[in-house]
Amino acid sequence: MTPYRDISDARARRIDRTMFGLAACRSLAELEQQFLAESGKILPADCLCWNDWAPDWSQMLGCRSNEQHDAWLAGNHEVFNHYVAQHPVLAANPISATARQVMRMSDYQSVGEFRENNAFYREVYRHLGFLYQVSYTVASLDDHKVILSWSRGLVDFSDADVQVFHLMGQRLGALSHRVAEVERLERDWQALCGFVNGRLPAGPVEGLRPADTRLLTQLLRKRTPAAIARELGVRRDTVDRRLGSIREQLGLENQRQLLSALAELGATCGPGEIQ
Amino acid sequence: MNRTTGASSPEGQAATNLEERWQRRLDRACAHGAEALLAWAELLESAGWCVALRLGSGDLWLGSRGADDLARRGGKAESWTDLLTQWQHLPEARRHLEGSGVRVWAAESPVGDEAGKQANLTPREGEVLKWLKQGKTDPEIAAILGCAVRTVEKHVGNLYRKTGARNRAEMILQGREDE
Repeated sequence: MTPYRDISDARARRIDRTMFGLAACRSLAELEQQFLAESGKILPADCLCWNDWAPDWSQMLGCRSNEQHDAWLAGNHEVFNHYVAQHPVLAANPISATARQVMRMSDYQSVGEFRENNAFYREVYRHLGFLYQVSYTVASLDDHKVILSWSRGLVDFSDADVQVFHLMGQRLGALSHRVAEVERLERDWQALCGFVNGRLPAGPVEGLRPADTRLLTQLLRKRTPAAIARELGVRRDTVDRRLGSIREQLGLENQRQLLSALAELGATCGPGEIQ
Repeated sequence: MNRTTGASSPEGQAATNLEERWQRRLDRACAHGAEALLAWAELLESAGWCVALRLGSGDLWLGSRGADDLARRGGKAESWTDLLTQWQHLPEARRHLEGSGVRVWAAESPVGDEAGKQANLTPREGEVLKWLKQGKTDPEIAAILGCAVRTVEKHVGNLYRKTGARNRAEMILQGREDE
């Protein structure tokens, strides 16, 4: 890992705070969008995300930018494919090498040469008025990959900038890992709710909080509300009130209906809890 | 769980601490989804299902019922990949939910005598139990069935004896076999 020598602690914390704000995203697409919106504030440069979080590099042509010129690439895949290898950074390194370090274009080819040799990239970056570029791969898990590239005109990226990008990339990688996890959990949650809803003769269970569910588990284990209250160290009233709100959410009228609904949830081919 | 690129050099230490602190905050913020799943997994486990969840990167949550069931078949699962292998060997009929990170299957039914005991209810006792489950009181059931309250009380007494339940809540929870 690159030590962030040239970034002050305060700045690193500011970046962390900004990136942490993205943790609430529910999907990778949302994360990317939010990241593009925020990245310009951390360091003013034009940011592009390549590869669309595909499991391999097959989606290299997918691209989103904070300058909304991504539609431009839609009809140009063939040309792009042809030219992708001519990018000085990609020519010098396999794409996966960008996952280890930030690549600054000017370290590989001078700006003049790049503009001279690559009519295609002039076109790609024409909206951005680019001169200088850096790129970095965010590889989260082992199966979601996105390349970030930043470009801007006039001033090349300094070492500190490169470190900022690395830090942002690291954070985005960690975030995407987490967001992918949240997405998966959400899918599993829907599946599980579908399973339960199909068996529980009551209203939908999606709205129940984990604490409610744990309370139901206690009931199913034949604990009385009084015993549950004692175990949790709360008043009997509190347990009753919570059970009341659960019944209301499930559309059940009384405690016994709740219990028989829970009994219906039991596995069909074995009496389960009976000892 | 945390996948950081190797940070063993001393100069990377400060950055690593920052990294770890950040990861911890992130873990906390995202723990909620897993908590809801775990709570339901435990509930289903109590209801007699075998449940397995995939947590984090490949970590497995397997309830004791599920573990027992696999052990009975001579299998064992320590990671999610293990479980997927075991899953292949389960008979189709026992697989009930196949999600990307959640599996629910029915345990091999080992119990015969208990079910037999339940089946011993007379038709009238069955009816009384059905209304009990709806949350009706004894006088209400008497009105519905058109008999005396004392008769209903007698039926309920027999139900207690036959199911071995200590209270009505237990009776309702046990009475799921005899519909």
